[in-house]
Amino acid sequence: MKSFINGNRLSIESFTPQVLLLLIVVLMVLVAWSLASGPIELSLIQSLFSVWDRVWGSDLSSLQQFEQVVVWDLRLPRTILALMVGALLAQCGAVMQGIFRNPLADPGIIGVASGAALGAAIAIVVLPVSIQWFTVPVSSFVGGLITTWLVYGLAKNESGTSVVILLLAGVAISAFGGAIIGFLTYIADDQSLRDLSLWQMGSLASASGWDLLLSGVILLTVMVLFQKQAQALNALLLGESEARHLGIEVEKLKQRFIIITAVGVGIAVSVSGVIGFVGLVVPHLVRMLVGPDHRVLLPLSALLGAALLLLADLGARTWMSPAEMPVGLVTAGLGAPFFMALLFQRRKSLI
Amino acid sequence: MSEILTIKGLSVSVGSKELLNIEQLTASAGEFIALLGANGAGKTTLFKSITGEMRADVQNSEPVSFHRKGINQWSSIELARHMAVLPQASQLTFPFTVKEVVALGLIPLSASKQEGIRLIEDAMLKTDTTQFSERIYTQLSGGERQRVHLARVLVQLSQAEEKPLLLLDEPTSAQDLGQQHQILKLAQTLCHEKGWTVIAILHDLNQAIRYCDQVWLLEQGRLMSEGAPEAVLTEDRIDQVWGYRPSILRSATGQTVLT
Repeated sequence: MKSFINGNRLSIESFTPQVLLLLIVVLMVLVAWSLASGPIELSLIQSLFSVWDRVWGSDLSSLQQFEQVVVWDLRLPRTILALMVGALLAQCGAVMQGIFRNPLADPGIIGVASGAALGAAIAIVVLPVSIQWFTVPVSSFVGGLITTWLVYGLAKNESGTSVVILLLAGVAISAFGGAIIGFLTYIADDQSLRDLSLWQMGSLASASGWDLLLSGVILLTVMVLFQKQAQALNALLLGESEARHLGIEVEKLKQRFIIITAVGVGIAVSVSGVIGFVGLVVPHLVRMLVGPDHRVLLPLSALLGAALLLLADLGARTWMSPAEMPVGLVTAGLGAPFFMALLFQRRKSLI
Repeated sequence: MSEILTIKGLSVSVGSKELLNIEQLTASAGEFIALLGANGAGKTTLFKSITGEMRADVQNSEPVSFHRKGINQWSSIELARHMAVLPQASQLTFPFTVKEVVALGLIPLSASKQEGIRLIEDAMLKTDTTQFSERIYTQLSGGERQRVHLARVLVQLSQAEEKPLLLLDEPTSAQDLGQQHQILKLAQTLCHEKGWTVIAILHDLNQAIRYCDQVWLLEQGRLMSEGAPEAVLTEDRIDQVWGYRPSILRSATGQTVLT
């Protein structure tokens, strides 16, 4: 239990191949389960065949037309969006912990997600509806970027970043974001109010083709860029001067990472609202299993993040079926106790 | 001996306070140099000026040149392959294994996997860290961690095409007596047998006398004296710098000892 909480490794042995294999199997099972579950009951086999039929034009599932639509137009996009948002959030969390040299940094906790949400909310309420497909993600990214710079500038010190300032900055920014969003709710017209409140709940239900395309492209880009710099991020964990002495151009590297994480978090927030704690919990678990080497940590975090968010979304849609909970509630319900356990363990070293 | 580091007209200030002002100083290949001075004399500032981390007051001139090339003209990777710094303490808080930390020294190199493993093992053997190669870095003592970083910087310099320069920031501060001597002995061997240049910030003057070829003595940001340890470390100068007057003895083997 001790090693579980203080972020140490379970063993110096790296379980990378086993973890990879397990995650792939778990992901496949979860995807099948996600396609099959919902208010309309379909068997696992039928739902899988239904996707197969649609792709290859065959007729193996023998489902009715409306059932086909449910699987293809509702459950499949939602499943894919959950996978991609989960992967994005987990990777951005892992990288943020690396640049902040602090395993407690999480886009939700330190206020970056709130900043992105504020950006998105401004675009939803103030800017014209016709160009929202573009303005919401961009504005969300800008909000996330400004917040990351601000928090980093505030919390930076000799040995990394101050946990206390990180958390307080998170509180302040979330409060500020909440106030402005409240104000926007107050001045919004009926249509924007509906859009805003729907989006705010943090849901994966309304996945449009554009959302999928956008998050898919961003996820791929982010993963490739992160992977290229993974070794440099390892060096940065030693400290900034040490990294510089190893030939890393530290300022450039940090700027690049801050911008990429802001893009990742911004897009995730703009398509699905604020979904907290995935970026905290996932890298933590992966680090315990395989150690902190980012070359391995980043791809495995993407896989586990995808699996975890899909599982959380399954919980959110099936627990009170046919009603649904926002998935953000589920991740917060699981993640917040985890976070408190981390704080409890570190309470002596924090002040 | 060939000159590898030349410092000429270096001055560094923060605001109106002058931290460092050095007219001329050179280091040659194969020299083990002790950098001495009281706290706040400018030792760390000098290190940071040598690595290019701290900018000199006059931007356009190049007060520090390494292998006849201005320090800011070096590409960051090439410089990393030829100049390394052992930090006094590092703030690594993530649970890397010791071997993984040493392997970070490979970052600026171009080594095959086998070559990398060989370099790592070799460096760990030299620094007496092999026995804890599989342990978690964050669980080591301060002295053990410092030796792990020493192994890391040895790996980093292992492919230098020109004679490398190694800067040690208080390499013995966290070590027990036996390890202190082993580390200094290792530095001396690197200098005398492989032609490396090592500059070490030390606090024990006897260690400087026993192991180093040269002493640079700083006093309030200026070079007070440089030369062979026994010539530089006179009673008067020690009294002036540290405010303590030692007695200088000569041991039976001809070694100078300060008490």
